[in-house]
Amino acid sequence: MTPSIDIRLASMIRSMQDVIVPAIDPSNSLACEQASLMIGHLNLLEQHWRRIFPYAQVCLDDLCTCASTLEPDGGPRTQGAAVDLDTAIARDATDPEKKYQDCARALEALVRAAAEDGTPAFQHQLESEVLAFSQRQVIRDRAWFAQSGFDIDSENLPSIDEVISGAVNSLEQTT
Amino acid sequence: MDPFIAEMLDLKPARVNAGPYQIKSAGEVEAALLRLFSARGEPERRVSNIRRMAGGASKEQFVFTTDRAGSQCEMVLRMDPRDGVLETSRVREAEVLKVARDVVPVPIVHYADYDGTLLGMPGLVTSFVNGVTKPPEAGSGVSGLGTGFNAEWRAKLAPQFVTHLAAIHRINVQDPRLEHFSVPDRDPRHPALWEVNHWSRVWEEDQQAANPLIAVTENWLRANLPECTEPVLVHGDYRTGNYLFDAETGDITAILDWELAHIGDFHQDLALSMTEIFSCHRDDGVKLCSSLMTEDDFIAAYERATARKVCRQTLQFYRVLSVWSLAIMGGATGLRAAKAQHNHQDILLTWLSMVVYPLSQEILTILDPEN
Repeated sequence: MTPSIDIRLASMIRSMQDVIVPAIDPSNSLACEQASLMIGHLNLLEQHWRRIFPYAQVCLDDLCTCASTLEPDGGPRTQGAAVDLDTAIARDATDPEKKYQDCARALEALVRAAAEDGTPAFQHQLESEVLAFSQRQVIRDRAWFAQSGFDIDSENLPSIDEVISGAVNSLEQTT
Repeated sequence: MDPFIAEMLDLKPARVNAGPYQIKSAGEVEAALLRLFSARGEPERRVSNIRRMAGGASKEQFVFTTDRAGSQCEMVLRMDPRDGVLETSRVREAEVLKVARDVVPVPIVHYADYDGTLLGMPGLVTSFVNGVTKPPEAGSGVSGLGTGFNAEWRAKLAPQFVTHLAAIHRINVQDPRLEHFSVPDRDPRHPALWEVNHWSRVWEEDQQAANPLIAVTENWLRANLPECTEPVLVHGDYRTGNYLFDAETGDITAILDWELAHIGDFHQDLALSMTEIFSCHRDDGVKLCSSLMTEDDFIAAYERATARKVCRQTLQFYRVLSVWSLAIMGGATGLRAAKAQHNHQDILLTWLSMVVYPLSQEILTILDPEN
């Protein structure tokens, strides 16, 4: 287990910053840009690697809660997709990230199926629940990738540890 | 869907199982250019000083010096990688550049290899245009995102930005030079529907991770298709970062990146400039479209320049469409290309995919404003 992942990542970042980047020909703009991105990715990995499973578990738990509130009603496509979602949620999984993806795929399929033969009432309920879940999930994902620099409101996002502790489910709770 | 885009997407699966894309060396680029020049009847044209150009998330771009019979100039090679953040056509790009040249400054297309038999991949050789995408003192992120201008620069650039957009929207969409473009005029909802169908198909074929919000947004778009009775030539990516200007005078010297051009609703170009990721905020917190002007100022200036009336409801539809399609490009197509190692900038495409979350927030702010 030694050297630890933290030490290896920190060593790579220092090597990139102190040795490799200064050695790149400044006129090689592609190499300069990709070296900077490499440092960015390594910094994000350093922040993420210890937290990926608890983070995925928080996301998965919320997705399962969202799915459990649904009352599917409609034709055979809606009913079939609802069964698939139940199956994905009921499946045992040691990897919460993979299970989250499986359940998200099943929920997306249910949204598409309901648009075809779901009852209007269920379509409305599904849309409301998916939007509410997405509001919570997007705060988590923005916090997870806040270091990317794309978020114009990153200073008002919760920390990743706050997201994992479940303390924050909306942006208002951080401000 | 636009029939040409449908055909183009039909050809994409043939590339999916191809091996990693090999980044081209300067020597390979030179050999490819000489093949192209020779095939175009200019075997004596020479190439030197090939440099890779930074920026851009979809094409490989090189600037080089070329001379023939003592006449020397700089040109740009703009070539497809195997895959990128977008699936677009060099044929259409060349056509629209030739037509747009009548009304706005654009690079001149000198040579083309539409099927890649000479260059190795489809590509265009254009004139090199002097100019910058941001003031020397400004900072910005990858792909021109986050470029900021001070008030002086905004005063110089904003009026030109509107004037050029109005000129583009006056182009005759029936121009026979736009041979590979189709006019969606059989039903007034077709301009919007073609776009929804296009990006829906891209999501279906390229998605790397499920996202129920993408499906909910698609349902909303299909339920809210606006009518358009006067289709125009839409640039498709009209924003700061996609034009060059003179660093001293502030004159716009070229409108770039026409690969998403299509015939559709003028609101689409306005809406793209209004998306948060292509905007910045003034010190007082007011959002500036494309880092240049407020939404109200942009709309008023566009209405004055075109005598068109901007419909806020239609604009809302195209804001959602713009953000949704950008999320699909970044989070699906770009990531698929990076996963397959089909691009010379896999690491950039992977980084750009993180933009999906601010984009998703913007969709939610429009569709679900109460939460």
